[in-house]
Amino acid sequence: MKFKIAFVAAVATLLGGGLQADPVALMDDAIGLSKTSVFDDPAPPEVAYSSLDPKQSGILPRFWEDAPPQVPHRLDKFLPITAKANKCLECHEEPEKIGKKAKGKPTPMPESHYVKSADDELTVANRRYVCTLCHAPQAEVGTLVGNSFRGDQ
Amino acid sequence: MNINRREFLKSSIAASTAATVGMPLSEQAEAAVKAGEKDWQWDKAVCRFCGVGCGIMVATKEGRIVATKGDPKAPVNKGLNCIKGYFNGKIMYGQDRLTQPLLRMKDGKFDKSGPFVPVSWDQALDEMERQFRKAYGEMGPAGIAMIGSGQQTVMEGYVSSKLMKAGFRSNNLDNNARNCMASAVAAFMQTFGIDEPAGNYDDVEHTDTIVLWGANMGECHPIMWSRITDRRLSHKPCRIVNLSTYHNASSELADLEIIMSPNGDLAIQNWLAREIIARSAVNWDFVNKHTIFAAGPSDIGYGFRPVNAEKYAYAAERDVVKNEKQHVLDAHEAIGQRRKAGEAVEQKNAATADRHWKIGFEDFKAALEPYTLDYVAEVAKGDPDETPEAFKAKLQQLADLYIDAKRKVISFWTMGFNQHQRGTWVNEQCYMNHLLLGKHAQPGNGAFSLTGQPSACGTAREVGVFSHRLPADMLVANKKHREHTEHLWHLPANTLNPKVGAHITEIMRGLEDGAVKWCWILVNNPFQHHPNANHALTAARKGDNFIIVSDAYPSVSAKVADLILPAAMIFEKWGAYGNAERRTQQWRQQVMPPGQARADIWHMLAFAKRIRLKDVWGEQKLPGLKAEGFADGKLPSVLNEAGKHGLGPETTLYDALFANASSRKYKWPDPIAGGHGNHVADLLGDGWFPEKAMFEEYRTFGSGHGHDLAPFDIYHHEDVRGLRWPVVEKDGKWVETLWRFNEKYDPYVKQGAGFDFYGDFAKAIPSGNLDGVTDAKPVGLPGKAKIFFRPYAAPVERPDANYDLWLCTGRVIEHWHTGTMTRRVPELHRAVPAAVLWMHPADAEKRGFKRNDLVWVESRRGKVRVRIETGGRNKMPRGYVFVPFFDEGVFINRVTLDSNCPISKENDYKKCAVKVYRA
Repeated sequence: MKFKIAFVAAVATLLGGGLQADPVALMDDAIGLSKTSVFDDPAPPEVAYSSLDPKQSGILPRFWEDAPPQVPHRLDKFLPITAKANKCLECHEEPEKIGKKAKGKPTPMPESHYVKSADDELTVANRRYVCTLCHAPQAEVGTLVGNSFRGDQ
Repeated sequence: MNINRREFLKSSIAASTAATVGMPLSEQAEAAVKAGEKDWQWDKAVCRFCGVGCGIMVATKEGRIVATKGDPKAPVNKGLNCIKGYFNGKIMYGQDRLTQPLLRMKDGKFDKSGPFVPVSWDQALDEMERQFRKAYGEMGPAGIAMIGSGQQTVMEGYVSSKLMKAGFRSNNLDNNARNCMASAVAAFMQTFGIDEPAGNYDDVEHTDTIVLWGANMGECHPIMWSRITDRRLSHKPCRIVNLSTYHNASSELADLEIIMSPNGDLAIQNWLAREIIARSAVNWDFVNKHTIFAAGPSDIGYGFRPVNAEKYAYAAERDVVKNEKQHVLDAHEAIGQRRKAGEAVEQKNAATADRHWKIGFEDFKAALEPYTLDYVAEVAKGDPDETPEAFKAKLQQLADLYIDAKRKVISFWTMGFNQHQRGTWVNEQCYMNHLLLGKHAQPGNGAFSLTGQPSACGTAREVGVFSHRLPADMLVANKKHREHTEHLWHLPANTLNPKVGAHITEIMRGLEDGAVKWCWILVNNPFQHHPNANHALTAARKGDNFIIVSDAYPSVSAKVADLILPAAMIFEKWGAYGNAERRTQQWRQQVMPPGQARADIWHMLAFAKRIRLKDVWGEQKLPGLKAEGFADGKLPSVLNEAGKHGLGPETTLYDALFANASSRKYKWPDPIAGGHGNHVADLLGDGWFPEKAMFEEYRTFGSGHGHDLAPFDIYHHEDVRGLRWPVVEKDGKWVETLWRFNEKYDPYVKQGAGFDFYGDFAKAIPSGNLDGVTDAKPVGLPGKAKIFFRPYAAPVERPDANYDLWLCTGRVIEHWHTGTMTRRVPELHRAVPAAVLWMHPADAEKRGFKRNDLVWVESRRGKVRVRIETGGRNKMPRGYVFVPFFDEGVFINRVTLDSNCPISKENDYKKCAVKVYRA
């Protein structure tokens, strides 16, 4: 708990005999995502995403098995994804390499992302075509509040 | 792989493995997964976030959620989730979960200026009760209010409605869905006489044309977008059109992007209608059999306070709010409304904005006459860098797509239409064009209103958690509807209050002007999401009122409350949501809430134990009440009559309304739980199953008249993944309805009718012409839909020399609403850590800004600091900026305008005037 704690004097006991003192009190600007009063206007932080090219970026830790991997490399050169062009797939659609990630090489999309076409060839499932519906880059910022979800660990 | 080869493969999928999202795992992989999950317990559930309503699977182990995944059996998403959806489990584990009630105190007593102090549930409810008695005693049912949410479960919404309307006899119950889809509701009711879409998501897989009107589905309805992507890539003729005020994620897959001006949609829709007539494309068989033409007043105001608007306005706001009384028409409005430019129009119909009457086709056609291509291009072109010719060519292409007789068309919309000062009108205009073409209520053809929240439909709309509604589309102001409700709820006659209560904007304003003294907020963060927030923030902290917030996390609203009640989150309770395609889905409690956090339904039931019939069912003052069967200004005592039903004055609302004999038939424990717990039933400890009892009671409202739901247990059946209502029992099976109003699919349509718009609201209206009513005698129009003429109206606040830019607000895919859940998931927070202000590079350069510069964005109402973004997912036209609203640190609703559609009362977050300058 990162609450700023204000200890309130135990005046109440002096006044009321049976009344309990307030053990801890939480100030408005000690709780929530923004540790400010709602009447303040904090300056938002400057946010930077990875500027590394895919070959240099490595991969980010995956939080649990079913979580979509986060994008470790720069994206500005690869978006948008349009009906005609999908630069993500140019590297990650490698049906012959499913499950065979090599160091310094793109992560091949898993089996679940492909369907078989009429002539039995693997191609990306259309519903998964817009990669950014699930995969996002990660800025270099701290967390606002901790999270204790730990999967099966 | 080269592009052509890929294109070929994409479209060939349809033939082989249509509508899958990927191959099943190999046996080996499957076995490995199963081995890793051997002590996990999987159960089906529903996504917590948007209105799409994806099915998810939740895995638990030793009392904690260990994983969630898309449910492969869910027809909505077939195993896929969006980036938020994957984190459904993780949102519950933020380290500052509220685990005990917090009350503002000094010296051991409640003090509005004190800090928050942890108290017991008894102490919390004691103070809440004391404050309730004070406000209710002083002001009666009008002095209290409750604000719910399109994220409440169906049962929570139902309990809130019964507690407020039957218990406290107050209609001051409204919710955030008012700011989400009230315009859609009003248009459904006025056009079809019944709420919610005719079609369903399967329309995507049947259609040739997808037209988005103010719906950035690529970010806001991601899994629907994945279905649309599939259709676009696998069905050759498929075309996507994106009408928006700026280039957004949905534009990337669009074949045609039309950048329009704010409110330009009103003009474009009328041009389309004019064009349909001009090209002789009206489907006269459909129109003659199933529709009539209608019109209404245009002098309806802008949803500001009807009295004292200028008194409570900041000095800078006054020139805008004075339009509530009188509005001077600009040149464009004058043409579109067939009046004179510069004419000062008294807004006489502000309180009667929903009036409408039947007109003839010739009048309808004459009304559309001014909407020529030249005029509409001048009004509606949104990008100053586009030529009028290019814009006109795009409008022609749009008309071609709609009108092509061989082409099926679905129009989708969300907040661009709904959060609109003329939101009801623009919704109705979309129906106008689909009805003129006869392209509605058929597979792949229809106007489809999407929703934003997971149960905006299921809870807010269907249960009727609004100040004017009762369950199943019924209205508090309708005597027959009240009588029917009193019958189903076993209430004495005239228990229910016939006066429409305060909608959410009136409640928030009521905190400021003293009309509301006690306000309970559940599953909602209105102090961050309601527009023009500075007024309400000040009122909450400085006013004479008591605000209770039931929430899982310390939101902005919790921070300005007087009492915070810790709430259970989605998988810590039993619940049901209803999505945008009328699909009701239920889930079981998966884990226990932390500490003393408890489900909202328990919050309400615990409070109901403290209020007795003598406190609320005696005579109550109700200033302004005038209704048939009631004395002016007061609700009668119903205590005597209650006594005849065996309900004495000392009976609690808990016993009278909730844990009564019919509810107690539903016992807890129940085999349907399959080993799952129910902390609410356990805490109540009196042997009934509240969620099931309330759902079964609620069902009685809809059965037999087009809103039928299946029994509680059916939804929990292993093979059921939600059912689309009306769900009607046929040969022992519960059968859902895919396309309403269409004889082939809807059991409620009269045989031989083909189509039947059987909703019964406002189905007898006067007749008139474009200027007004000429014959007040109501004409019945059973089974028919209305094709409305609605004119162009300009936004009430437009950029000027001082506030020189348009501001639009909205969502990003990574965050949900005000970010209280998703910003506590580190992966989502890092994906988008802060809101930014998207601006055209030339606008930035003109002001000397570069990307990431810190600026103030300021309106007449407030200002916030934000950083500039000139690239990325949105491309703004010059003169237009966009800021998402998820970030309480960039509190953009200090800046937005609280002008709303006078019919629906839904606020317009999409257009106001701002200036941007260096911080």
